[in-house]
Amino acid sequence: MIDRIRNTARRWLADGTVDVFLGFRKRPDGTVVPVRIRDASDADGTYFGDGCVHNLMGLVDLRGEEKVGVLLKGCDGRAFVQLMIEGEVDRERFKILGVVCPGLSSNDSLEEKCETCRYNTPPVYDELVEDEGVESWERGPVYDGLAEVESMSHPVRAAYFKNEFDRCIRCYACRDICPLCYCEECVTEKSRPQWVEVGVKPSSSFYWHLIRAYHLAGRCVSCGECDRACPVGIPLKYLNRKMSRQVEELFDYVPGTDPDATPVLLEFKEDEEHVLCPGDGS
Amino acid sequence: MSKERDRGYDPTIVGLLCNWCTYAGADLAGTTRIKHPQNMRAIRIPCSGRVSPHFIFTSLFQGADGVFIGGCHPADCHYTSGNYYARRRFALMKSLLDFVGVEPDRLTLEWVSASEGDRFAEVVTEFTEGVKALGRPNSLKRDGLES
Repeated sequence: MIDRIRNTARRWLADGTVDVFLGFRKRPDGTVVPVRIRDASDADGTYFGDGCVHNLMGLVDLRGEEKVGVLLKGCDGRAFVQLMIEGEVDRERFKILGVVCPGLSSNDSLEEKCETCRYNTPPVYDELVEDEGVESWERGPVYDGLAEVESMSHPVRAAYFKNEFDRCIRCYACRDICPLCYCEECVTEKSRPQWVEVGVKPSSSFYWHLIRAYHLAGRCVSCGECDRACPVGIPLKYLNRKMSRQVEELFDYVPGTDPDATPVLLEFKEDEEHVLCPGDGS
Repeated sequence: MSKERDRGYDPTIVGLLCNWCTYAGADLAGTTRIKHPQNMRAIRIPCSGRVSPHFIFTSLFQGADGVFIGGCHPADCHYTSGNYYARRRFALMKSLLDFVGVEPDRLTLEWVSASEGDRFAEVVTEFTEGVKALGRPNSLKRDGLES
């Protein structure tokens, strides 16, 4: 698998198919980092395996001119498709090297985001590499952790989230790492009007996390990058999962899986009054 | 903003009313002197599709006990489809707020036409009673979060 990735990257860079290739590199200490290579001779330094958790779509310059080759797992591929249907990436500018992801582990256990993975293969790609014995899968939804929160009373839920958000240092790593958070000017940096207070306070952090989750409703592809990037361990996954579940239940939409879809909040059906009073207690 | 008085918990409700339907419906309720609770502060907006999540979040953080959104009935939107978009967005906003601790009774999206003064009074009364029944400030009120 790694050989095929290296060969493809080398070929694309050597024949000018792409100007830059985004992949992974394993450092001598065993950690894995994303890498941009521009020289075909560097292709041997690329890697794929445990540790390649990063979503490389979060590192792409969406508005650049260069031809980009990029290695995408299933979750990363969903980010690509969602960006594509939102008109943010030009399919022609990208050469996608898809991998049929076997699921990634750290310390001998499967990454949490891989346990709940639904699509291990990118929905669109130019070339696909797979390991023997790893098949493409499409699995049903897993929305872990929501029932625990929903079993609490409303004031207790608010206290639970307040307690989690209180640790927020407002570094905005969750936003910056997110492949779908591409606004050139984020609402949190706007001052006319200033919807999100700048100071690090319980109420302003609570507000920030609400609007972040809402802006990703119907767009989050469950790549888990926000959760991984958070330096203080805020469980952003619950908010994202809640929104994903609602979007799937109400609108039968799973972000980033259909290259021909319209983003869920940019369309409607005339006959869907039932969405206002869903029967799941929300 | 919310006051405990002799007559009990007296909630403050922010009303975001569509200019073409619900705002006119509220006007009609007033001119025909239909009685309904006075807790709602009406804000006129061009369309229910104009409602940004910030309007709702900010209302709640600043202490409103409930947020009422009024729009044209489906198929009657002055701008053809603003209320349909509003419906999808509202459904998600409400479930997100529910998840983090805001009771669903604090938020509603109602369709009231310009000719439905009686219906306006009815839905506002029902909503206000629902908020009153909760009997406490909303969980996201800034003062509460900061204390």
